[in-house]
Amino acid sequence: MRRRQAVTGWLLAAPAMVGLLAFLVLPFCYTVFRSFTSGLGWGQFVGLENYAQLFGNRLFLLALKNTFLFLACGLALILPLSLFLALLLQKAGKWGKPLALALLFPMVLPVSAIVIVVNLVFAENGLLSQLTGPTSWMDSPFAFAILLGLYLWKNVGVATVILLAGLDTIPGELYESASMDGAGRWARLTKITLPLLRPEILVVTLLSTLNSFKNFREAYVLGGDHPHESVYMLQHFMNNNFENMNFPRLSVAAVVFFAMLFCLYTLLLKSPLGRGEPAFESSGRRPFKMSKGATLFLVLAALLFLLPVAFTIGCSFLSPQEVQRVFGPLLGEGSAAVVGGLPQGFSLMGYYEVFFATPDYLVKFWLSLLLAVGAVVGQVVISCMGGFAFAFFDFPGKRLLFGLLCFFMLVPLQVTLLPNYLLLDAFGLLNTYWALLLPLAFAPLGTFLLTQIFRSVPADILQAARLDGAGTLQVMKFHNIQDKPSV
Amino acid sequence: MKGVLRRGVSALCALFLVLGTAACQQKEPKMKDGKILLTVCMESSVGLPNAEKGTTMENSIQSIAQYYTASVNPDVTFEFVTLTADQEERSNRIDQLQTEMMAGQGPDIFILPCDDGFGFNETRLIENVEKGMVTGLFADLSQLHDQDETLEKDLLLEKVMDAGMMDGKRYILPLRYQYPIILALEDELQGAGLELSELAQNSETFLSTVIAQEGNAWHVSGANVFAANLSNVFPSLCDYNTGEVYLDEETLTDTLSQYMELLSTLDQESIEADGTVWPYYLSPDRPSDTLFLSDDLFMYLDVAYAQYQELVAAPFAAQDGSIVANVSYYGAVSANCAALEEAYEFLKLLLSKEVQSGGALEYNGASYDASEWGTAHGWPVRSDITAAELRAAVPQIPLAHGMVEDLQQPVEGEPAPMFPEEFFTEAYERIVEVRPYTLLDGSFSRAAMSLYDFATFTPNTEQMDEVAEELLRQLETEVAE
Repeated sequence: MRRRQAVTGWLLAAPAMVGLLAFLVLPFCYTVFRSFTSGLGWGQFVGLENYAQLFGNRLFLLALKNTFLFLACGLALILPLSLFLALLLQKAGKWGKPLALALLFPMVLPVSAIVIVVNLVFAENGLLSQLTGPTSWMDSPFAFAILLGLYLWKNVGVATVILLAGLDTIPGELYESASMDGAGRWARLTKITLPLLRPEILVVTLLSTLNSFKNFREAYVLGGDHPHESVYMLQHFMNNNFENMNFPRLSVAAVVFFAMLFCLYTLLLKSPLGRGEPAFESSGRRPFKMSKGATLFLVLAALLFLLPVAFTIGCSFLSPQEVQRVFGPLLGEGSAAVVGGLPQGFSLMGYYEVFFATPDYLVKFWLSLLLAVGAVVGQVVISCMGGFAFAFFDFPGKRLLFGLLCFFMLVPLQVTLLPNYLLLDAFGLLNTYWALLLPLAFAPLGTFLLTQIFRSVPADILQAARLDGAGTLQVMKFHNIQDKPSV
Repeated sequence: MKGVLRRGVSALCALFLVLGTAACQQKEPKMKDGKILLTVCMESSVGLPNAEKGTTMENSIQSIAQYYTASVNPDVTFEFVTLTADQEERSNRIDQLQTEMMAGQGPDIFILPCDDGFGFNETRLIENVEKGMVTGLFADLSQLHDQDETLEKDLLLEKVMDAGMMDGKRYILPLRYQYPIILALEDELQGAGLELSELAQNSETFLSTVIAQEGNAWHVSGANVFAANLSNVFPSLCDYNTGEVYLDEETLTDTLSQYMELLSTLDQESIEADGTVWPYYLSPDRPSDTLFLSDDLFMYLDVAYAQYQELVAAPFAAQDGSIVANVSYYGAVSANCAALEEAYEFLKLLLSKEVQSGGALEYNGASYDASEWGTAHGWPVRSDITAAELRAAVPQIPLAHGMVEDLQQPVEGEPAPMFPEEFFTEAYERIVEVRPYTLLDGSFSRAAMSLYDFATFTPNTEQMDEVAEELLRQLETEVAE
């Protein structure tokens, strides 16, 4: 029986593991190999020379410091903030769902739209400069704080939703008993909520780490290749070295960074936080009452999250001339400017231009949609199988493989781009849609998330279904239907 | 668990062994129809296409390749990768080529400009050639070059050719070079009681001489000359090999302080003279100007000649009185190229007198046109090509573009007399450093320009320290990345 379970577990996890091996583990090994070489292609072996050079490189050390500082500040802020919001939302009753949804909106907003909003506020002639005098905020030490704020705004929603899901699994009786025993709010939080929320906190920590690397896109669009020193991150260093075609140096930077990250997360996983397993099954919402002040705070927070989304949607109904008239002065450089008045009309010109006057855009749109659908279908199938295997099956090497999955999830694009190119070239897949689809479909994030979510569902269902004679696929199908929102 | 770890480590060792073996494999040349295939990467054009013959750089290089196949090595065939001027297409192509190169593929030969002839924002395949030499983008040509007995090394400008060396190895073959020159109207110079030699002694005397002048016109044009050549004021900026930055904040700030002194003498009236901020060509309102040594000089001479003015010129000197020159066009073989000898033999043709002077290669009665090389950015790297010869090869462009007020009709007839050959030989003697031009050089000029606010006609004195700091930061970044 155990052997059968192991084989089934392996088979289910196999697609995700093949993808992990092909698109992340092997590329990373190639990167490690290249860190000992110089030049193009396979390069010439130079031993530890690249490492010695890198540790004397001022920019690398600056980027390393900034990246870890950003990660530390980001985690230190996002965890309490998302927990606070999750606790409030839990008490919000029927308003909880729409308010939680509002927090998730920034995630779907494209980088370019976010950047326009940030520029409107922080550009040299932006709204903030109207108050303080012309200051290029993104080119000052404040850039770090702006980027951190942007990171929180964009990612606190998903962290909140994950913690909220975790809070829902903690039985209300525990709090009631604790209250009867005289435990105050703080005691209930530290003795019940936090210990039982460990698995979700771990997920949020890993996910927020991943998202802090993704924040590079905003930093790059806002500040370019070489932004202010305070926001010069490792990904800038890697990206610029990629553009300089110095893959060995990029490789050394990636290896050093991931070695440090590996040590850090190994410690984290070995800590009590990493040992946490879901203690209870979903208990449903408890009918807590929320004060008016807390409700108002949540509504304001939701508005803050929705404002840039509403702004972007609103701008899509302005003609290009109107956008230029109203916001142009704020985005321009030079002398101080003021907002050019309120929009005076409603226009569908932007939509017309995109859908009718620019056929090229339409082609790209449908192509992107096609690829996205393909990638999502692949990702759902592979992640469900992988998540199911990691959550419910015991098989040899499971912990190691899941550890690898968590670790390689954090590898940035620049590190895997070249080895993936070589791999796809070797299989003759370059210049085909497969070259775009496969790495996306096999991305490990889905497997990681679904594993965590499936773990919170009672294993008894699986046992009961098995006793009733259901096969693995039937159980998985039933399970996925049960957990439709996560899937 | 231990067993899994052991197996994992064994698998990793095996993987590294495979990777190491793959790395040690001998590269095989690419073949096409039984011939060695060489891929040449180039720009579509390097300036104005030759109006009379309709040639572009693309045509010239293809023509040289045909000559190579016909007369040097019939077992070689060529493919061409052309970088277009269309920004989106160019950028995508460059991304693709860079990935290919890092993956051990991509072009075998590069024939590319490295100056700012296309403007500051043009995306380059190789942003910094000197850094490319350090990071191993190019094949080492030292052995082939040293053993080459047919290359007329004694006729090639040694100081320029050595700019292609790094750490004792030769990676690129400079095909064109340039240095900044100061142009001035002789009448205006005499009227102001100035000696050109004073202006050309070193960058410090240049500034002090201009500041001492009464007329604002000298101040405006002097500021323009200095700003355009700011990076050439400093003989040594950095060493990409050791990662050292030689330029220090004190030197830069001192230089900029003197420049600010000049900027503080400018006024609105003098800047707006001639109806434009920086009037085109020379006039009493703009008695001096600067340009990099190239065929543009011929047009300046022709305009002055057509207006019955005499133009004089001198190289713009660095702080120590030497001249800092730049490689503006280069040829190199990719480190990925498996047919190194064949690629080198092809590149060598670009150093021949025929190609360097913008002529044609002849073989078996057939002529292979390379005239576009006459207008390639910069100056020939051979000592046996005179300025007059080059001028004869470069087609004269009719001066009827409305660029000069008095010249609304095309100027035809005799071209203006050329500078004596001593001008070029003496300038060459003063050269102490030749380095490939980078976008950083452009940044120096832009930074110097930014120290004057053209909207309010005032110098941005308070920004000077900030600009100096930013320039040094850029320099350090360029070296460190």
